[in-house]
Amino acid sequence: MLKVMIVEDSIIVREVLHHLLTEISGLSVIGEFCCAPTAIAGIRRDPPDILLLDIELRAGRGMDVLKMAAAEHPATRVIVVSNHADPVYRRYYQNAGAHGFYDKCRELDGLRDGLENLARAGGAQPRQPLAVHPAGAISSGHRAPLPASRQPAKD
Amino acid sequence: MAGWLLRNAAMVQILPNSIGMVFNAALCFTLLGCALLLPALKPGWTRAVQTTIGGGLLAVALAVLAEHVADAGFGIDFPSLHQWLRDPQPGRMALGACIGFALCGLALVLMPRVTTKTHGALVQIASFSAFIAGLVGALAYSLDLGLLYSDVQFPALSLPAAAGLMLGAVGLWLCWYPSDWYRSRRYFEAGEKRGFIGIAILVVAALAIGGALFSAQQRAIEQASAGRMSALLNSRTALFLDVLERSRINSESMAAAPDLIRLMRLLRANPDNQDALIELHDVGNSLLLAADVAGATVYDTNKREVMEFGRIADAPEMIAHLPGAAPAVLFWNDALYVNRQLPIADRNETIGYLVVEQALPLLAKQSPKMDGLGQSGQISACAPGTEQFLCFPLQRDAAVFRSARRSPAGAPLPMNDALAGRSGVFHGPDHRGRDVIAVYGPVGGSGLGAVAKQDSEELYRPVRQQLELAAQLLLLLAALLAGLLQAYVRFRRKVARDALRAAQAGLEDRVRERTTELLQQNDLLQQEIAERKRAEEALMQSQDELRKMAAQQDYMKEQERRQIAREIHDELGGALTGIRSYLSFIVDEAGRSATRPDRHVLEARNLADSAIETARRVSSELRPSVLDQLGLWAALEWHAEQIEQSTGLKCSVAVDAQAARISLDPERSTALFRIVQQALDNIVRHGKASRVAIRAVCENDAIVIEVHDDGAVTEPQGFAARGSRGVAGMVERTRHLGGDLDINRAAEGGTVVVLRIPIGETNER
Repeated sequence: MLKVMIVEDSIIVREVLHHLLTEISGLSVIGEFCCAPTAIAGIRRDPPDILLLDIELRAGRGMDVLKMAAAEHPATRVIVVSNHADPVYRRYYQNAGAHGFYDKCRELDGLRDGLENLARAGGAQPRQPLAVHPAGAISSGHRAPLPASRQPAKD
Repeated sequence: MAGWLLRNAAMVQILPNSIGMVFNAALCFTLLGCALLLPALKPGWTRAVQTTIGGGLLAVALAVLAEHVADAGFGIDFPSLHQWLRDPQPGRMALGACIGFALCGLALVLMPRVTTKTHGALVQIASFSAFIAGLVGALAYSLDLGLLYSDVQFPALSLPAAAGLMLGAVGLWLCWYPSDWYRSRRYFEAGEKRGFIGIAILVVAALAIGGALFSAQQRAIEQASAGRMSALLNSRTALFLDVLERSRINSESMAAAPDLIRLMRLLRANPDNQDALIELHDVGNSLLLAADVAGATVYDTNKREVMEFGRIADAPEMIAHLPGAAPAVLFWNDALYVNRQLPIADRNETIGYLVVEQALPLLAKQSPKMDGLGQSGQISACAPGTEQFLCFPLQRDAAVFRSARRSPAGAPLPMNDALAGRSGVFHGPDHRGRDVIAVYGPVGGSGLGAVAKQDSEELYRPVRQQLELAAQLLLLLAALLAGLLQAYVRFRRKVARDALRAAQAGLEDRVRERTTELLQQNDLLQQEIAERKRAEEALMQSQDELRKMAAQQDYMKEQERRQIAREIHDELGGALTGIRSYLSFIVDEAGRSATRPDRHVLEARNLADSAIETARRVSSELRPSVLDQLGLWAALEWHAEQIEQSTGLKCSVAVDAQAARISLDPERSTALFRIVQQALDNIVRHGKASRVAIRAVCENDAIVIEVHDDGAVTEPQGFAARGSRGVAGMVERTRHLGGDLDINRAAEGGTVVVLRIPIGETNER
């Protein structure tokens, strides 16, 4: 059973995510947080396997939580679920160590698929970073190395 | 000089029968000419030539002067060269010429080495005195000044020499006039020079006037004197002839006395007739009673003395025979006598002779001082004598004298003319060599000549005394004028100095006044400056407040926007997300149950998508969340991407590593973002650029952001004017952050906006 933690300020979205998670077996929600400091405290108390992280929080920033998790709990897979779907966000969060990045509205299907994959693999599978596609699909494989420059990709 | 060597009188004298210029004078003139003209040919020689020749002139002139003083020849006169022309001292330069040449020599020697005022004055005085020597010589020659100073040799200067001296002096003047020591004011003030020239002119004028006066007086005096003497001579000769004639008649009547004839007849018959002898004695003594008869002697026919009466002169001082039928002798024995030998005739038969000596009572009645002839006046009658004139005075208290036929200088005396029967006026040296005025003429048929004369020295003494007095007065006048001139010059100088001092004082006062005015104005200016500074400060403060207010407003607007954006994003976005999610779940469930989802559900999901998109756009436009979430650099990247997407303008962002580490506070980040946003908006609005490069670097505690577009080159002012409000806003924001903003033409083309913000209280990320 993989431990999932939700960090999201919108109750509606939290319920949506709850709903989504209940449909996937092998995942159990161990905590929900609406702001960064409490989330960080929760992670430190009980580090989850999967962290569903929103960018904009009631207090603090999603980036703070991601950086803390990436630094202190590398085993935790951080999956960003946000309304901010611009490429610059994807790039910055990916560079900061996000496992996945999904648009709240449009990529819930992809999120579900990704979570299902993770659930299937369970905790037995050694940790393997997932490639994050711009479209948001999560697949097994090596993450691209950090680009030297922060110049946005010209596509 | 050639004239003397060739023995040509015309060449030597120039004017006929005048004194010739001697060889030495000619030599001196030649030397003087060389000294004056040679420097014109060889300016470098001036000093040497003038010194040498000046020394030579001085030596020659002083030597001849010494000859004059010692009255002896030193063998430098070349007498042999001059002997052929009559000259008392052959070859000797005149005194005037000596002095003139000595002065010229002195001036020449001093001229090139004037180092003091005395030297300069000496040169001027020497030159001028040489001129005066020449002038006096010329005057003496033309006006016969020798009449005034007949004993002095000075006037014997020849006319050409006098003219030459004057010309030489003028040459000297022309030589030193342009020289530095005279032109500059080092030694002589202008007033002194004018004074000297004035005195020189005065002296020349005085000499000329004196000469003219003398010339006029001389003629008048000579005429008056000649007339007077002529009258005197005529009356005296007439008297002399009259007295002589009367004495002849007297003596003849004595010889014809009947008693004498009777007694002589008796004695001829018997020389020893005692009665006759006694009676003759009585008759003879009675003869002596007649006037002026000094003595008488009776001779017989054999010229034996019969009897002597009275006193007969034994050896008279001077004897002159008078022409006539009876032998008559004029003789002097303390007085003038005539001795006559008369025949005693008895009916045409000479029976004896009577010799009568009569005094001529010519002078007895004359006053000792003859009117008009003065002390030196002399009137005398002379007989030719054998070698010398035998002269009897026709005046009282005078003695007889013998005179040579020529003057000591060899000139013929007027007596020659008088004895030759001519009469006239003579002016020249007499037998003593003294200059006299004389009137001469024959004395009737007596065979004598008479001359009345007076020394011109005495004649002209009053004139000379007048002239000397006048000269003294003139000198006094000149000295007075010089003094007055000097005083005037001093007075003028003092007046000028006082005026200058007054002007200086006035100037100082004016400067003081002006300074005071300036100080007052300066105070006013300072006050005005202070006021302006206060106004400026107030303005600055006001601007600052305005800027702060604007910034505050910006901040509040920004806060408001952020809040609205967040509301939209969180609340609306959240709700829409929920709606969209649940609709998706419905669709998914339909998919799992293999039924077609409801058409309206799908429509609703599309509408939700659209609404979400709108909400996101509106939110981002109000306030880009990336600025709060990821910071300035990400926000710039985000904005660049937005622009590139919406306009197609190629937009790149490059942030160097150091700048990337810097995390700015939200306010600064927002402000910088808005500034860059404005710059990009301007570029987009301008629409001429195809590429924009944003570059951020960290430079000396400041962040520098350059926005460089490749648009057509436009003037920065044009840029500013185009988006003036936008640019003004950018500038205001920059200032509020304590930075500065430049809009320039980029070297490689396009426009570059350079934004420089001090880092201030920032944290490294």
